[in-house]
Amino acid sequence: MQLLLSGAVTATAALALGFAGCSTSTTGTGSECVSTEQFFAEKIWAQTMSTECIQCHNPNGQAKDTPFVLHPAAEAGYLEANLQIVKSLAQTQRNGESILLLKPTKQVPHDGGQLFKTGSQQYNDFKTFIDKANQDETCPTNSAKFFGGAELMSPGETLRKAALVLAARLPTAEEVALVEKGGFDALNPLLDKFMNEQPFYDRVKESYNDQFQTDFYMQGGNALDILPESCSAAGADPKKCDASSYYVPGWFDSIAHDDGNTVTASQADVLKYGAQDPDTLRRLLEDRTRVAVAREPLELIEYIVRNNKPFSDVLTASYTVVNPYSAPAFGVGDVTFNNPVDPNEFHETFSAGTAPRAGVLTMPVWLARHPTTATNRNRHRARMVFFDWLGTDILKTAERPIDPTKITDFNPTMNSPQCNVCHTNIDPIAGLFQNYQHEQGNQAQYVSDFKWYQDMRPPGFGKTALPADQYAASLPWLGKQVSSDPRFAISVTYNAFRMLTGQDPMLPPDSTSPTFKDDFDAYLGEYYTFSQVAKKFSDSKLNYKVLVKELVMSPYFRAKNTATDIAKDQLKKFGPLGTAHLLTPEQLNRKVSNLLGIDWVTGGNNNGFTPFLTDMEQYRLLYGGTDSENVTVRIKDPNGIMANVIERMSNEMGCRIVGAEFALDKSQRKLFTSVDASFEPKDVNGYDIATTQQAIKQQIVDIRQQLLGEKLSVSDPEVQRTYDVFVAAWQEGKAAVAAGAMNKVGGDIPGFCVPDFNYLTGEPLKADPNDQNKYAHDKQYTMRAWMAVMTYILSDYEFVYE
Amino acid sequence: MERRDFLKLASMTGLAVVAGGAYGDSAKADAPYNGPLFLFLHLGGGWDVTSVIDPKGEGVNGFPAAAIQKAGNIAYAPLDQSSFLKQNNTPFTASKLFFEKHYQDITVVNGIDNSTNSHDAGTRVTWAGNLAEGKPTVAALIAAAYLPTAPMGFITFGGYDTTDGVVGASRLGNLDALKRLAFPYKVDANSDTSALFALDGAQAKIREARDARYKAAMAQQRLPRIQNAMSKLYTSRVGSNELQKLTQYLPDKNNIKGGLVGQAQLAIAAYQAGICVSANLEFGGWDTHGNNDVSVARNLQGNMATGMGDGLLGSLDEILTYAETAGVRNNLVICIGSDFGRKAGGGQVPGYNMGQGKDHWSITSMMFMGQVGGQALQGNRVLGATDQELATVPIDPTTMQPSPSGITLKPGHIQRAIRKLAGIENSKVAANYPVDVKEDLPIFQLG
Repeated sequence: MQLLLSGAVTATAALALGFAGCSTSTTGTGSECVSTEQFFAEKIWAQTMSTECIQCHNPNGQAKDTPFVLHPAAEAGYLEANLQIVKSLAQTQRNGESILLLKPTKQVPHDGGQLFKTGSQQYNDFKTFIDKANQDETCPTNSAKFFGGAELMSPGETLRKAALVLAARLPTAEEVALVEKGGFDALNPLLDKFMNEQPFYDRVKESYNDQFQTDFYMQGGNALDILPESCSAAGADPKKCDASSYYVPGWFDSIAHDDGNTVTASQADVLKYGAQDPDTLRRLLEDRTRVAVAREPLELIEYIVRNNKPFSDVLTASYTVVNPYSAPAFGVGDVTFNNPVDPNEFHETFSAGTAPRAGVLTMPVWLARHPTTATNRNRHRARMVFFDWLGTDILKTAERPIDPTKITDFNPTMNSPQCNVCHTNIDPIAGLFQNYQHEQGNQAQYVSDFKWYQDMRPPGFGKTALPADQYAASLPWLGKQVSSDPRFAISVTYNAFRMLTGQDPMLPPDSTSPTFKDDFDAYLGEYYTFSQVAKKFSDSKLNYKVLVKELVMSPYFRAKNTATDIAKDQLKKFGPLGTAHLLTPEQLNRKVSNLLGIDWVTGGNNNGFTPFLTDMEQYRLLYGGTDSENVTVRIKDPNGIMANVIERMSNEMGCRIVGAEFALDKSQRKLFTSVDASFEPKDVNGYDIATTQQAIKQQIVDIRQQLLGEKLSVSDPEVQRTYDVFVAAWQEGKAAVAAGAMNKVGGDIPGFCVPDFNYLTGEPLKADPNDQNKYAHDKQYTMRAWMAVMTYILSDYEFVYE
Repeated sequence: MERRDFLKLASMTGLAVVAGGAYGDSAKADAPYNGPLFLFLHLGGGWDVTSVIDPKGEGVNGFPAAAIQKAGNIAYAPLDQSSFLKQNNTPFTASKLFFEKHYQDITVVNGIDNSTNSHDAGTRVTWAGNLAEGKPTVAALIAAAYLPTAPMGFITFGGYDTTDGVVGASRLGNLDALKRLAFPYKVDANSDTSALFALDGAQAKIREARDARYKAAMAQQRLPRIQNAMSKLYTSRVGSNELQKLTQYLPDKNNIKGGLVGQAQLAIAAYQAGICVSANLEFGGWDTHGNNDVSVARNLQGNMATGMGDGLLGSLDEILTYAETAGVRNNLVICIGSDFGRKAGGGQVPGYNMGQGKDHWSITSMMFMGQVGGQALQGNRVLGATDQELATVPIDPTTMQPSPSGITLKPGHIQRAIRKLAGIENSKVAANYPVDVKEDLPIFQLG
């Protein structure tokens, strides 16, 4: 793994980073040795080809039948692909001169006319490129140039951020000590450790659900309705069942039978599953089966990542994963579970039916979420293959205006340039989904012998046609093609980048924009980083964790500021640099829960309610989340309502954590280890109490470090600001109590913040027979002053962003 | 901090803020908003306009041309005469009832050339007037010009809601949850005498500390992305107390309807509270590649067999009635559009595909109705035109009627007209997103 140093990336550091070959400075200038790919991008593509050549030399342009056809910028990895094409052209000569110079200068016939003159700057750039293209590469691409002057996190800072982002927890004292001693070398294995914890897998699944939206089938939709029921299933309706299917979506009826009026089940089964009665048992079985079937694609991804399998399995796996609930629903009978009621126990199986499997591509919920119709003919599915796995939004290639009056051709998708700009690419892949049609309304039914439409392009991938012997297994063939395409690794990199930073990869900038040059530099920095990361991902046999580690170590994750003398021009290249990710509702929920040890949920921990931030009926959608049904796009910037969700969370959780902590002895607490409720900043006469003031300030320093990752001294202005909040709340509260404003103030903390249990151990708190409200009292008003402090800290930018 | 105080501080100190404050028209931004509520209703999927407001008859539709109905000047499709509905014995009454009742308030614009068959691009060009990605929807522009820092200046229930950071996009939902958010310092949001998590002075001190911290952090931070994020959080908090006003206007939760009507009810409440200018409403189900006529009829009429139904048309009627009752109908503009139009061939019935559906077609229509300050948008008008093949027909830019030497009607023209109607055509925020057509068309006429 390439390890970046902390501090600003400078000329010297750039060499140490492994961004070898060129020096950089905080001004970002001074590159002398430029790689061919970088020269091509900056001088040939950006200056000429992206604006002029591509007008005709594109897959549907006037020059589409020449050997020089450029890939559109909508395609992942288009610069590399175009470099190879142009290099090849550069090496083609006529009368000793490269065709790459002869054509644009119109020294030989060129339908596009003369683009530049001999001796012009463009001419000289093309000439230099031709020279470079004909030599061995001597200069590696200088990615550091794009990051010169960026200030990166130290090993310790990176540890904290990685622990929070990957494992949704703080690093332990032991982990901190390891990194303090061993620096980045010590961090490497800790990243592996974080990626073996459940929150990481939850986050990976969330990120892929943002693409698949298949969680719809465990919420609004019912995954069990998708599975075509086998006619051999007990009680199957002979009019509706499918003789070729092996699915038994209602398998649980044999355990908890519903005759329409009453549910019957054995008491042994009710106890076995921990249900209360036959009714709740049936609901439990049905719910768990629905969730397991709905999450089949996401569970496969978790299984692949957890077991360090090649990520290509996501498209090629001939196995799937099942738990005790989805196994019978999928007709799998040969898997033995250690705990046959545990919904989290997943096993690999090859025996789920007879249809050839191709990872997520053949999964019922994926197919159903991207449905086909008699006229769509699997094109939607093909588009999603491009988008999800080839990093390419194929519809962008058709965003130029179309004129319907010019679509007069017979079979336009085959013959009209207005249409085949997309259909040339989409239709062959659509054909590879031929084994899954819209048969009898069922999107997941396998049809081995479907005769593909003769008025569409034949099934294939790019220029490769589907081999005749693969017709019954065209999706496994597609999975292999896609996962071995260089764009696959880039598309997975894109998704991991979104997961880690909350931002989308930059789009290629508009070449007509006045800020194109700076935008293109910013874009190139990201492009080269992703290319390098994707290459290492590929070299690791597509180990997803290697990919994540590379991104974590990249400036996009670790940049925290710039050198103070950063040049303005260099700053313009830093658009996407540094993570400033407003946590999603799911992430914020995990962070609150793990850092405070208390869930933000009605009634406190472990009461069976869904936490506020993940509950659709509470704050999940209001806080910018999705329901995978109607709302499928996250809001990434806060609005007034989201600001108040943060406000409410910080108030409620500040209140709860203070109540919970002060109910414990100081030695048992996690946060408030320096103060007690008796610590007031002034005495009854209004004189300062230096010792308690010092203790309160030290406590503020410690809490800020723990929750916000700040290392401040007691004299820091931010500590003083926080202290001022404490004092203001304390003074106002004491005055209100003294004035008898009991309705809003009183002597106790709010009832729902009064704990019954030790929140760290779960044990009941010691009761006082003489005082049932022992843990509610706050006579000195210090607990509520600390609540105000916690509100301030929990609503801070550093807490709600990562 | 209240919004006005915030803006004053921002202008005095050069405070960097990203949303609204940087763009809003200083003459208008964050003054009390007295203009109309703009509701932008997106019919997701691409609607078959020939089955609604641009009917053609045989060859295109499942009903004969002779059966096409008119309410005033507005022609509408007699779906009840569609052979597909007749086959299924599907009753259909909604269009007749709706258009007969409202035609005098309706402006229909046909023949808009969206120039794309892509759902994403079509949705974008309809509401942003531009095929390129990332441009803000017109609803966001209007909100940014008038209430850039209001907590719900722009509410979205779907459709095209890209804002490009000019204003925050807010979602609404569960009323109990909203109430808790409106009063984040109240322990019990439903009680007037609830205990507070922090008393007023402490709350003020927390806000003061946040302001100071923000300024200190911004002074030290130079990475644009992180600066931007800190600014957005800071700006989102400005005026968040105004959310409390919303609770005064929200209907009782038992009276909030589902679907489209409920979306409009919430937007109207936010508008009444003075914290909302515009809202995106969403009504999906128009991607009718199969069973077009039956699906469109269901979309228009809902599940009811008679009357205007509870689909699009019945919901629109109910929204207008609700707006009347709420006292805002005299300042309400409703714009209805979709991804694109639909057209097909190759099926057993001309004008339909093999699945009795229709496929994507880049020519579409829009429908508008409403009043501005008590002055009605002149209705009973049909502007723009298509030929029998549903190709757009050039129009005279002064009359918007067919003219061989005329111009092609583009979404940019609609965008210009909406901006002008909203009075933001010369605002800074609109100037940052120019429209690529030059003609001002008389789409909206008041009085």
